Amino acid sequence: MEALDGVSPEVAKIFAAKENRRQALARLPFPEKVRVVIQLQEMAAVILRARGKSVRPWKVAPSSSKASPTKS
Amino acid sequence: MKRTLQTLNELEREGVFPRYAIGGAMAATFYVEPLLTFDLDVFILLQPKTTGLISLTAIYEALRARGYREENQCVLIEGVPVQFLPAYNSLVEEALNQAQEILYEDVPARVLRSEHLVAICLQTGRSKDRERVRILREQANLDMNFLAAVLKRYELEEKWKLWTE
Repeated sequence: MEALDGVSPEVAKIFAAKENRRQALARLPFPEKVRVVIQLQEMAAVILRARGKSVRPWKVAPSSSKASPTKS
Repeated sequence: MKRTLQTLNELEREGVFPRYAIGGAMAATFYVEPLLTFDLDVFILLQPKTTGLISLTAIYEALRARGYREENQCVLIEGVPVQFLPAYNSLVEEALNQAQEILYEDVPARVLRSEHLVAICLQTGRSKDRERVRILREQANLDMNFLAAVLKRYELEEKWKLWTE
């Protein structure tokens, strides 16, 4: 994360924690990320519908196992 | 999304299209933090017709026969709006041909390489593409040698410098 001028140590700590959280989300298995995307869709849909935009969160069957690359 | 991918695999096996790979925000999400999107971009290789034109008609017909319906620019497959995008230039064709094989739960699928996603974003050039390049740079562990070769091949080095310096 880039250094921020004029930010108190407490706030810098909060920003660092947020960055760590984003990095942790990036490391999640793909199916878990997809579940997060659907949660984001549900949250965003409320706001977007209030603005008159028609959106539809995905309706997918629940699942539990993990994705993995078979080659890199 | 598992059932959606199973359906795409069936279409590929049946020859409705020769190859597909996930692109767009969902492909980026494979490499970085979850990104908000409401559709699943699926790039496909299509055989040009004798007229030289490419058509999605066969795909839509195959999906209609399975009971899936079109919705705006997408087809709703097992609860997921899928946007089919024919490979529209040589960069996207290369990206499709070199897409990464993954397993989504136990279902095989393909996702465009992160370096190709960066190149496609640079080529497309919208503000959301610029933001996606930033996130991919930060989180995707890009193979910089591979990326440099792609950028050179498709004359995107200047755009990369402009967006990243």
